[in-house]
Amino acid sequence: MSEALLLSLDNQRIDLPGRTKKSIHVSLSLSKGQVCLVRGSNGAGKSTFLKWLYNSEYFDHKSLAYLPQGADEDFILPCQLIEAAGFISANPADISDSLLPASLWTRPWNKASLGERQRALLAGVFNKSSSVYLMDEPTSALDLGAELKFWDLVKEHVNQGASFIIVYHGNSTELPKHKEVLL
Amino acid sequence: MTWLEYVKEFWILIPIVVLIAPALFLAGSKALAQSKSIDIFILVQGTVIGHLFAQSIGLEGSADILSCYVFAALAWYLSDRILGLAGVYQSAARIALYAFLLVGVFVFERWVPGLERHVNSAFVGDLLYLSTTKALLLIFIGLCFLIFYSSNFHELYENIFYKNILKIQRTLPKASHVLNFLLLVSATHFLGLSFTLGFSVVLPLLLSLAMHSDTLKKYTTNGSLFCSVAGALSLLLSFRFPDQSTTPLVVLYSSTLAVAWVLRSRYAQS
Repeated sequence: MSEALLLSLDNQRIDLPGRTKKSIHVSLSLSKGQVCLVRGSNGAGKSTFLKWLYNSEYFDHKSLAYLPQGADEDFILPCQLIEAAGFISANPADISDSLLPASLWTRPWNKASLGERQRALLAGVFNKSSSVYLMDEPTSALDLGAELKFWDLVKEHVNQGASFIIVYHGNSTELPKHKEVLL
Repeated sequence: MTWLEYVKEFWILIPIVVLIAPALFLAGSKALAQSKSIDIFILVQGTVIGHLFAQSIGLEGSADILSCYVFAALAWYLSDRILGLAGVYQSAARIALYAFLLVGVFVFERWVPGLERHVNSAFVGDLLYLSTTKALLLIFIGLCFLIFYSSNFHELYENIFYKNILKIQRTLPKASHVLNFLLLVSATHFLGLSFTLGFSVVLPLLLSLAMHSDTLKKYTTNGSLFCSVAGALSLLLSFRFPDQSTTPLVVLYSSTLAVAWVLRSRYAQS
């Protein structure tokens, strides 16, 4: 594996427990500073693949940031967006201007919209300054303006040498240079 | 006895309530955040059965406490096994386990003559008859729990957030489980089921409604302080009514204060 190559999967079998389709086979390579979009129909195993990657030994967890879907889950106890994002990384409000207005950080998690929750979680993830980012449909609840800001942040991090594997259903024209894997 | 004489006689109960009420509140809040409050019911019910089993075969003192720990651990183990079962609606299955344990209490009561008094004391507790040794043991467990909790607050809730919101598998530190177990079983055995459930189930829920817009940190800090102060004041107030059971009165007064806070916060919002 060359120095710039971070991941190389050749027809890797990934089991899909509890599904009609028992497994999928994935071929994918990821280099430093690269964006890879994972596409496929509903139930194709995209989220399972991302979770499998997160739990695999291909990446050092210290240099890995993973954001699964989860913004739709309620937190029973009082918790503000700033705290929720703070569980992912310290000082997520550092990049609040680009993703979430400062006034929204004190909104209770359970009263925030899905988009606001997702933006708070994304702020937390981007603030981790990791070398590899795994994101599962990170823009699914974002409005157009927030999605554009998201891709700007991806480009900014790519320019700094970070790599992304993103499960993405959309069709934005603002996508950075990327490769695609179809499951 | 006058009110002041009661205070002088039972002063040791004040530090116990001041420490154990917030510890139970924090343990209950943690369970609530994980949607696992039913675990507390199961653990508490296992403790009661352990106590009744000990009484039915004439075990006293430390053997009685040991029996509570063994039965509570067994109940906890069963609940944990249910969590690992695939294709089972786990909440319903654990409620069924709780119902089974509840039935067990009444089976014991019918089985062994003269056990009604122990069933009653297990439910309402015997706060006024707590020995110094038991009181010191409770204070020690409460202190250990509070120190562990405050020094691991962020890590505990980070793990809960990852597990329950992001669905990323994280496990809480083993010490957290052990201290939780010791606190809940000891509180049930020494202070009664009503005190334990009152401060670990009722108060966390009521205070989460009262502080629904606050931060998690503020909720846990203010909630703990509330339970300490309201618990101690309720205890002092309960001495005014020596004919009534102390523990249920403490829970009732504290819950009433919490309900007043909820109403005040709702009124202020509207």
